[in-house]
Parts: sequence; structure tokens; C-alpha cells
Amino acid sequence: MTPEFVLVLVISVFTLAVLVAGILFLNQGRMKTLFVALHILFLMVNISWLVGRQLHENGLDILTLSSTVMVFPVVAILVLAFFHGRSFTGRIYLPIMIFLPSLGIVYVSVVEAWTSSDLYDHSVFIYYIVFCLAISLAESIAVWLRSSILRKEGYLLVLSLIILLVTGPIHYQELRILSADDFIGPNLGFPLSGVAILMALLRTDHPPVSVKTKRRTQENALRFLPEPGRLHFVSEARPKYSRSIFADELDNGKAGLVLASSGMGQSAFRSRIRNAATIEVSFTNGKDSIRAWDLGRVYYCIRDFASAHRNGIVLVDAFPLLVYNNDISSARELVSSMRSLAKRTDCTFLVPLSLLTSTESSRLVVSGDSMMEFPDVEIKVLEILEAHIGNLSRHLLRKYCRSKGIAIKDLLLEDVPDLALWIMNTLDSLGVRAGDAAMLRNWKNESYSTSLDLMRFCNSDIEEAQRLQADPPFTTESLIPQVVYAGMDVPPGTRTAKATKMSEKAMREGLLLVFLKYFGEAGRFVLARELGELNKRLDSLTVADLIPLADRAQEAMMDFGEIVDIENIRTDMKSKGYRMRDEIVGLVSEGGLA
Amino acid sequence: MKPRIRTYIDGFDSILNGGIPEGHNVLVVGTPGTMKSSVAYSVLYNNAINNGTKGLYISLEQKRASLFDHMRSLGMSPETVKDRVSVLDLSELRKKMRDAQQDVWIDFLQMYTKSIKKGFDYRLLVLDSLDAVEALAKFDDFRMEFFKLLKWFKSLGLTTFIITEMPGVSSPIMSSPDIWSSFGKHKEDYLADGIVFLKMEKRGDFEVQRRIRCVKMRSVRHDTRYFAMVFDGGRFQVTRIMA
Repeated sequence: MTPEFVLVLVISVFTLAVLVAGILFLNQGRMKTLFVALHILFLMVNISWLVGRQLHENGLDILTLSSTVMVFPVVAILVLAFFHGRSFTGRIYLPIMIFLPSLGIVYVSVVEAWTSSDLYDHSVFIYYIVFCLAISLAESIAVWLRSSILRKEGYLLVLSLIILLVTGPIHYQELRILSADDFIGPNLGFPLSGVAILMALLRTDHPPVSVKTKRRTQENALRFLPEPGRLHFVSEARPKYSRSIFADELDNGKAGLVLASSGMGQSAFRSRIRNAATIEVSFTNGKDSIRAWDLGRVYYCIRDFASAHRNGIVLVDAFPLLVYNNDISSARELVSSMRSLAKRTDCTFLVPLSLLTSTESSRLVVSGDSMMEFPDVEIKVLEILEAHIGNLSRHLLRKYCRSKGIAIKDLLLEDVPDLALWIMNTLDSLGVRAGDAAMLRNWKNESYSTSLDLMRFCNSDIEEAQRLQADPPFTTESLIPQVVYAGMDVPPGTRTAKATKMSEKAMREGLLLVFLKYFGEAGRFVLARELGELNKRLDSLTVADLIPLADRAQEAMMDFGEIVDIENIRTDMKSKGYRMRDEIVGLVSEGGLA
Repeated sequence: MKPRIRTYIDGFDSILNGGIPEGHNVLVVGTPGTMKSSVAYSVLYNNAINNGTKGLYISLEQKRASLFDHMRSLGMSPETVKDRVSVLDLSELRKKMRDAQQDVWIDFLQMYTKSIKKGFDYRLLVLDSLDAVEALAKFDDFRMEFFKLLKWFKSLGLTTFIITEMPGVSSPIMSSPDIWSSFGKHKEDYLADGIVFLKMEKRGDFEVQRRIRCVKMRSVRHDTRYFAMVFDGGRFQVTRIMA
């Protein structure tokens, strides 16, 4: 056994080990087949050389030769299939066109009695490997330099191809110069090249996405599962549901890409998705950022990801920023491209519509699109709580959110079942402290009815989603809500809300609506301010308080008008003040309290 | 091509290839004393005089009376355009609403811009200043909130001039290498459609010259050089800088 023999034997064992690792750990069918085929060729090149040399059998040289020839087209096909996916392998003539010349060269080599020792001397073979390596290297380098998502894979494949180039034709020339013809034939770089290819394939096979973070409601989880292979618009006041769904899907093992706006900052969501690929939509093109008006690059980035991670999930969090920085027709084109990409790749696309106007939204959504609509949970929950427990509600809600490490504004529908249980337990424990049996009974009823109303709100939203799914309106609802929560023992005869409370509630709601109508969103503050001036609380407001409140509201409107220097606006605001006063006074009869 | 809003600063409109495209949000950035407010007001004033375009000037810090005095001293009489240029004195409201929460100020701003628009169809808006808005509203996520504010102005079909303070020449920030690429503390310059930068340049031992530069103006082929800006005979003029 010569040292060369031992070296090639060791190399072959390593190549075999890489092959076994690939068989064990790779999942993607097509890429796995190509990887195995390539490694069988790698092994054939070296083992046929070893065996032929051992047996002094020149007939085995044809195996070394043909395997050497076929290695290069198979590598090229593997690289192209890796980057282009089905768009390359689906056009079967393309791989055939790349592979077919290798069969021709093998045929010619048999006819012309070429040997593996002089294979590289024939220009037709040199041209062929230049062709194969050039296309695969060009693709890999382009991806390495330009793709934000597959950069590392591109780098690994470039490395692998350079190893093949150095240990193949270049090493051959060295051996010829050194007159070491006996050692021509085997390739020492196969295991290294194989490891680089395996690493690239494993990166896309097993994206590091499963982040173990503290889930808010593990056992009482209400989850929304978007249908795969579709684009889903998410209608929400703030981009919290789309983010939550995205993070849930990542936890389920899906590979994810998020096109984030810089406003996302270092939020809890960021930490939850830290293993997802993140591209920042900003105002400069950079390593991990894309300019907001470069929609072409945005699309290519998404396409790269979707092609490499079939059945993955893409959150276009910065969609409003993209719409704002481009005209609406370009945004529509992007949406349309994403729609077809979702179909082709089975990827799920989440497009939040928060911050967009209804006109913009309506121009982007077309008939048949999936639209997920979510309520402002924190507002609804607060309304329910206030109807039952008055001013304790905000305090309790804040306490609950603090215990979960979230802000009130980040409350989700999925938190409601857990919140309902928490509220019930908390109110019960407060009642126990009171110690009075009669009070405790009422208190328990109140705690049950509060929780029940919260659960009803939660379920009604699910029912609405299911109704929409069964009977889609203009847009198709594709929510698949799954609600799982611990059963609640509700005593028979438990009331949900007192009739008188409802009337008061209606009056308070009406009051807030009047303020919102005249002052816009500032109405909440103005109402609170005027109530404060009267030393009153909204929950304890009586009919007698409405008249002075109406007077104060009128004054406030006039005060606001005073700083305007246009006479007709000032007059208009004055008359608005009168109208507002009338509407507030009119609530007395509407609320059924007169 | 979008209709243009002329600035009526002699020479500057040709630098802007005709003016500012209608509907743009323009940051007027400058160090103290560079006449940012005067330049912005003069745009409203001259548009009102020359083509009757209505404008709204929102002042968050300077009182209306003080602003009017200042403009009168520059030869721009507010009385001449009183039915076409409105000044909303939010500094008065600040006094009345000392207890207002931070987030309500944007609601106030929106309430006024919308309700005034209904009865006084203004097309130009000056917000003086972004720093005052920031100090009042204390945004958690400045960029997103500013983005929403710009969007609000756009939804009203306004061409907006937003005055932004920049630290003076003695400030350490001015020696930062980033100063030439950043015109907003929170990168709001990236969100705006246009940036007009004003600065003072020392000439010799005693003289200081005001300079103006259009840093950015989306969809406009503009000259990006600095120009000298002088105020003479009640008008702003820009000229090439003489070496």
C-alpha cells in the first residue's frame, strides 16, 4: 500500500461519511437525490481508482473517467436547482441539456480510448467543465453578493465549487508538471466540497426558527392559523395580530421572513422572531435593508426566500411604508406578484393593512382575497369590565398585563380566555377578603358574569369568523380559529349584566360618542378633563350631572374656537358647541334614565 | 407633472425647477437665526398675495401677536392676507391645557387641521415646529408617529412645510461627520418628500451669510448646491455664492 493509496482510501471514507450524513439529515427530496447522486459519483471516482490500482485492472479506469466527467454537470444541476427550485427542475429540458454532453464525452472517451490520466488534456472536456463550473459559480457568486437571504448558502456553494476547481483541473496540471502521473485520477477535495454543499442544504432544510420564548397563554391558547399557499390581508388597528400569527407559525417550525419597518425597534416581537430572516425596509439599500421605493428588490428578496423555504411564512410588516413610498398601482403589482408566489411556493403571506386608509385598502384587496379582521380587543375588554366592575377595571387590566409582561395596547384576542379566568379568580379572592357572606355571593356572581361576558365576546368573534368562512362576503375569510381553554363552571342563573347598568352604559357610551364626534380622538381627553372639573367619574355619572357637563362641553368647544383667527370657523365652532350641548342633554331620554 | 407650489423666493423656484410639487411634505431645517419661520411664512404670504392660495400657519411656541410683529417688521403685513393666511396659535392652547396628556396633542392637531379645512379650504400648511410637537407629544416611536402625521397631512391634500431646528454651529453634533447626511434627529428626513436646509456661514472675521440648499425634493430635478440667501425689500432672494 503506497501512501497515495492510503490517502485516497481515507478521502473515500470521509466522502462516504458525508454521504451518510446527507442521507440522515437532509429532508428535501429533490435536493437530497441530487446530493446522493453527486456523492456516489465522488465515491466512484476514487474507489474505482483504488480498486483498479489494487487489481491492476485498467478496465475500471472507464469508471473513474466517466464519474469524473459526470461530477461537473451534476454539481451545476444541484446548484441551479438549489437557487431556482422548481422553476429550473420543472423545465426538465434544462437539466438534460446540461447533463447530456457528459454522456457524449464518455462515449467519445470510450471510442477514442481516453484514460483518466489524460482526460484533462482534451479540450472538449475542458470546455465542458468550464461551462458547468462557470454557470454554477456565476449563480453562487451572484447570490452570495446580492441575496440578503441566501447569502451564506451562496458563499458555501462558491467555496465548494472552488475546491472542486482547485482539486480537479488545477491539481491535475500540478501533477503533470511534477510528472506524478500515477496519482492522476482521484480527487482529494470531494469530502470538503461535499461538506460545504451539505451545510448549504442543511441551512435551508433546518432554518433556525424555533425560538423558545415565554408564551403568554400556553394552556388557554386561542390561535389563528392562516391557510398556507395564500396571501392574507390582516385588518387591524395596530400590527399586532399579524405579528402574533407570524410568531406562532415560527414556533410551529415554519421558516419565516419579515420585512420590518425600522419603527419595529427592539420590541418583544423582535426577540420572539430573532431567528427569522429579517429585512429592514428603510431608506437605504444595505446588507440587511432595502429602500422603501425599491419594490423590485423587495419582490426579489421575497421570491428568494419563498423559493428556498417552501411552506414558509412571510410577514410584510412594513407594507404601509411601501405603499406610502410608492404609488398605489405599484403596490398592487407587488401584492399581485406575492399572490402568485404564494400559490407557487405554498408560502403564507401576511400583509397588515394598519395605517392604510380605507380607500387604499379597497384598491389593494380584490375579490377572493383572504381578509383577517380583528377587533380592538383592549377597548372591548375595557368596556365589558367597566360595565361590571367600574373603575376597578383599568387597574385590574393593567395588573393582568403586567403579570404577562405586556402593555394593555398589546392585548390580543387569544389572551381573552386567560384574562377571563384571571379576572374571575382575582375578583373571587377580593370577595373572600371582604368576608361578608351576602357580599361574597354577589361578588361571586359578579366575577362569574364578568368572565362570562369576556368569554362571550371572545367566542362571538370566533363565531363571526366562522360565519364569514361559511358565507363569505366580498372577501373570503380564511381564518381557522382553534380555541382551547379550560372549562368554566358557571352556576345556573348567573346574570350577565344588570338592566339598569346597561342603560347607564348606553348613556356613557353615547356621551363618549358625542365627544368623539365633535373633538375627534381628542374627545376622550376632553371628556375626562371636563368630568374632572366637575369632580365626577364617568361610571358614577347621574342624570343631574349631564346638564353641567353639557354646559362645560359647550364652553370647551368655544375655547377651542378662540385660538382660530378665522371668523367663520370661530362661528362654526360656536354653533358646534350649541349642537353638542343639545346632543348631550338629549342623551338623558335616549339612555332611558329620565 | 404635478402642479407646483412656488416659493416666491427669487431665484429659488428656478433651482427647484418651477417650485415644490403640490402635496409634498417639506422639512425646513436650519440652525437658529436662519429665518426658517420667516421663509415658511413668506411662502404662505406670497402665494396668498399672488394667486390667492390659502394657507394655515400652526405655531406651537411663538404667540400670534409676536409672529405678526415679526412679519410686519419684514414687510409682510398679516392684515393684507388675513382672509387667506390663518395663524393657529396653539401656544395659547398649551397654556389652557397644561394637564393634557402627551398623546392628545396629535389628536388636537388633527382636530384643528381637519375642522379648519372644512370652513377654510387651505392648501398650504406650515407646522412650526416639529421639535415643539415632539416635546409636547413625546412619541414612543417617533418615526412611526411622524409617518402617520405626514400621512394625515397628505390625506387632507396639503403641501406641508415642517420647520425643524438644527443645533447651532457650536454644538458638537455639527462637527459630526453624519451632519451632511442627516437632517433630522430621528431620521425623519428620510420620510419627508423634500428638505430645504438653511444655515449661517461665516465669511471673514465679522460677516455671516445666510445660505439655502435644497437637499432633497422628490420627483424634481433640482440644484443641490448651496446658494446665498438675502432678505431685501420685503422679499427673499437667492444668488450664487461668490467665492
